[in-house]
Amino acid sequence: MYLDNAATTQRAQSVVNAQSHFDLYENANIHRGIYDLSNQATQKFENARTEIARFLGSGNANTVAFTQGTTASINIVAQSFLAPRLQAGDNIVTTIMEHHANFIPWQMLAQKYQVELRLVPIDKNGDLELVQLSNFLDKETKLLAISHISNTLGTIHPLDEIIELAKRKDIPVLVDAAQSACHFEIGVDPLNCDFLTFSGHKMFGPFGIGILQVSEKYIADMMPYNYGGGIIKDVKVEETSFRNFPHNLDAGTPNVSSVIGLAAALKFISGIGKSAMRSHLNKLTLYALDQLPQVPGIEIIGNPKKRIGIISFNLKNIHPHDIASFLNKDDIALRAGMHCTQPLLNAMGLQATARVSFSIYNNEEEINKLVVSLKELMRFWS
Amino acid sequence: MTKQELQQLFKNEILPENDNPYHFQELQRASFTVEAYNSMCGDKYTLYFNTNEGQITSVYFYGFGCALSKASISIMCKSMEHLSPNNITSLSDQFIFAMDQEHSTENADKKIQMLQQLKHFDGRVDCIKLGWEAVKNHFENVDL
Ligand SMILES: Cc1ncc(COP(=O)(O)O)c(C=O)c1O
Repeated sequence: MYLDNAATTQRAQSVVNAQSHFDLYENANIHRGIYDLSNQATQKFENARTEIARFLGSGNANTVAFTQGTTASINIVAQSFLAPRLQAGDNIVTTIMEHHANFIPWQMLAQKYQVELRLVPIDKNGDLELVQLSNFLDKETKLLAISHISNTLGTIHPLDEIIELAKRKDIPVLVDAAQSACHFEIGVDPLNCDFLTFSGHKMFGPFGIGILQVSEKYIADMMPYNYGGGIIKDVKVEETSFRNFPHNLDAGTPNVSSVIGLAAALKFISGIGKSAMRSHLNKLTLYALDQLPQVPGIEIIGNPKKRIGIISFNLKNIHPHDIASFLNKDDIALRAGMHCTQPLLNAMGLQATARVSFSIYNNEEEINKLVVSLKELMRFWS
Repeated sequence: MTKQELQQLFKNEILPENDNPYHFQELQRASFTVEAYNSMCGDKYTLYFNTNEGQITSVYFYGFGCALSKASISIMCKSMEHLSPNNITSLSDQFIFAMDQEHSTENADKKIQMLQQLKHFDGRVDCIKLGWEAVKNHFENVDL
């Protein structure tokens, strides 16, 4: 029974098939060969880019770059877009709730360029303090970086409202959609943001592949950040000129079969339908929130206005690690620890939590089993 | 480890140590302190060492963590009292070595032996090693 979907989802059969078909019968390096196999691989690769753009509500495949995942995408924005435009006295706004992937890159820039890092706090329910966020955004703000859904509390941030605040001041916005790409309508156009990042492995796709989508407004500001073959227009001994985004980022040979796997994952998601997925996850989340309080000594962490798919909790006197070890013996896979959100846990006065996170293949029966296991553990411990 | 074995282990060994940890209290003053922190999971303890003429006279600890890390540190603190820094270094070296290597090693101290037998406890070896690693690193980095 797998309840750690926020960490990674199980791979869809169609994804595995698409990848292995490519690996077995269609494998060749792209953008290089004159022969058929290479041309076909190139075409599949670029078709995948177009399909992914469409999935993101865009007709422009040139807004879509392939990366290794969310973490890589965010770091690329930090190095390739933000670093060159920072000056002492500027600020970057993000929140206390972010995954380390959407926190440390900004903290490092802030230290290096003497820029202020402003962290939007949360209230006791686990919702962002929007008034504070609004106050933080000013003329010196060079980026607002925010997640769509918290990977620890499951809070769904009111992105419409938040992005509107930034856009009124013409501040570029990065959305970390790692936890929402699977079942929410996302894309730089639908969300009206400028940078969108997510990972294939959290949406039934392969490891090692992610997306960075950039709004047309800032495409020309994306500079190469690592150098090599595949990204150049012209190389002379004196100087090199580069291709435009997204082709100026993927230096070297990209992970072609994962790109093909990711395109298959998006097809899988579209086949089920995002709204059907959302309503299933909503139902499970509400059911779990209804059932878990039966467990003596349980504390559900946070009570945000909107949440989906992810619930953190603690049991009285039992450390999350010990919970995970015991539930493991009942074949329940759940997460224990800080979930790469140390600033958030510190702000809430917590050292660690146990976390369950659902996907489309989970059901209410599994939540019943979870409750039974937790009750048994409490009985055993006391 | 089966579920029953896990329950036995916790009932007989870990929980008694966890519920009544040895010298589990914050000290205002100590000869020196060592921090044991696992940033992956948030377990965090301070170890307090008192010394007299080079000998460790008592070891206390305080902090937050899972039953395993706490039980392990409790056993460690007790075993380190009245040792010289050199002996502490070799004790913690031996413990980490025993946890890391394939074949089993004997330790005269029954409780340390019990911990060493848990070296295949998936995902939890770091919990057991936490305090020992911290002490090992501390003594490796000070001039004795
Ligand atoms: C909200 C959020 N951002 C970023 C990441 C990092 O994703 P990846 O490890 O795929 O780069 C995660 C993954 O746990 C996440 O949940």
